[in-house]
Amino acid sequence: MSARILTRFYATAIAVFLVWPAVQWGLVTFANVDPWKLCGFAMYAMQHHVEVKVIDRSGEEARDITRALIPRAGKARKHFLRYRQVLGDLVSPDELAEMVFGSTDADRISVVVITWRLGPRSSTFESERRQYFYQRPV
Amino acid sequence: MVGSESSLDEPSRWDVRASRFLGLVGRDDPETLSSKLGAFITLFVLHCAVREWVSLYDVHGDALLSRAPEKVLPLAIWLSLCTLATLTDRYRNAALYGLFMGLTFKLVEHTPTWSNHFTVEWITSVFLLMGARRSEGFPALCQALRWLVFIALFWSGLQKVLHGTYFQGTFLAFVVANSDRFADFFVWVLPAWEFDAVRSTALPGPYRFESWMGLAISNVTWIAEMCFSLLLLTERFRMLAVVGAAVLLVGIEIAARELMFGLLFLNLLLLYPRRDLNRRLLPAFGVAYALILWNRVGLVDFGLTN
Repeated sequence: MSARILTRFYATAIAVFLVWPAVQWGLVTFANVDPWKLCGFAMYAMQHHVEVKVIDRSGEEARDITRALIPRAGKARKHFLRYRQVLGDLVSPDELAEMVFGSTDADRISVVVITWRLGPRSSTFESERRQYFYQRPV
Repeated sequence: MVGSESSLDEPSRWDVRASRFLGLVGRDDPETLSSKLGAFITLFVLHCAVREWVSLYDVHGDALLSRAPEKVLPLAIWLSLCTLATLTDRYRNAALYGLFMGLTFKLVEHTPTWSNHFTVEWITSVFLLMGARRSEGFPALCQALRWLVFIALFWSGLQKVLHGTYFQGTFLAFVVANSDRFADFFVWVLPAWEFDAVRSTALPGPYRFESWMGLAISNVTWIAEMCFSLLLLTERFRMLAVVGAAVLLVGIEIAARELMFGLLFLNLLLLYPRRDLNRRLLPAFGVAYALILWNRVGLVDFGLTN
């Protein structure tokens, strides 16, 4: 490969890497992506922790069935949690919901994703809660 | 008929701009490049091999063996062989292919949970594969690798600003409160009243430094990262920036105790000085990697995380 082509390749690659962390910052801020991942160099800039709960809303009272999923859909929950921790809102819990319906009698469930971050203004460990509602397909 | 000079060999405007852009991080003396890059490559491949051995076994960890030893062990052996191959001129290019294949295998296995340092390692392997096989690629390769240092340093600082967790020491106060590793360092630098107050802060906080020392450490960190990175782009202050970045790195390593990332970054940083420091410090790097491995198997205990 000639020196000229290499120069073009390296210049292009470096230009992309120069800008990419700004994109990663956007994903972290607006899509709850893990700041320690996706090569944004934001490790040690923010703490990030994700919890996932599954709530059975079939009856009159909502029940937390997260623990009860083990071992039937526990693996699916762990898999979803692993990807959700890294990719944030870009990962949908649809597959997890499908697994839960496949392994429980619940007719209506909600998947609750709680993302914990350090709030720069409050200086506290704050949480943001997102809930996804699902009904058993007929 | 008198022919005009051929314009086929003249660089285009884009080539000139690309060359100038890459050259912002300095241009190296071609005489030292070959030796410098040779040492860099050996250290880098050694680094990748050690990382696999380190992830295979940890006497201090929750589990002794890695979760997937059947994948980690062959990769550790493969990269170790690649390291040996880099010591010979004959097999160095093959080692670069082997390194790229090994790291790409790991890239696929760990999608999308790659750490930042692994992404830098994979990108470095791509750069090496593209430019290290022939000497005409050495100048641009060295510049591209130097740019990686700038990007890591600059964005580390800017991300701290954008996330806003360093102005009041929020992030550092949080890790001091919740991590023994950071507490072991900050107990020596924070006033006793501040350290006790932060350590006793329970979730969810607030986590803040009140002392001038705590606030200074927190804010100097991001200021230094951004300033030193920008100074790397200046001819006049480049070496000052290299020394400053190295000092900053030592400070970060003492607090965070992530020696593997520190050694990776240092190997890249040493590409800036004209002198072939990568080769001169090769034995010191070897000792450092040996200590990391010994720490991992329990022969020594420095409290290293990796």
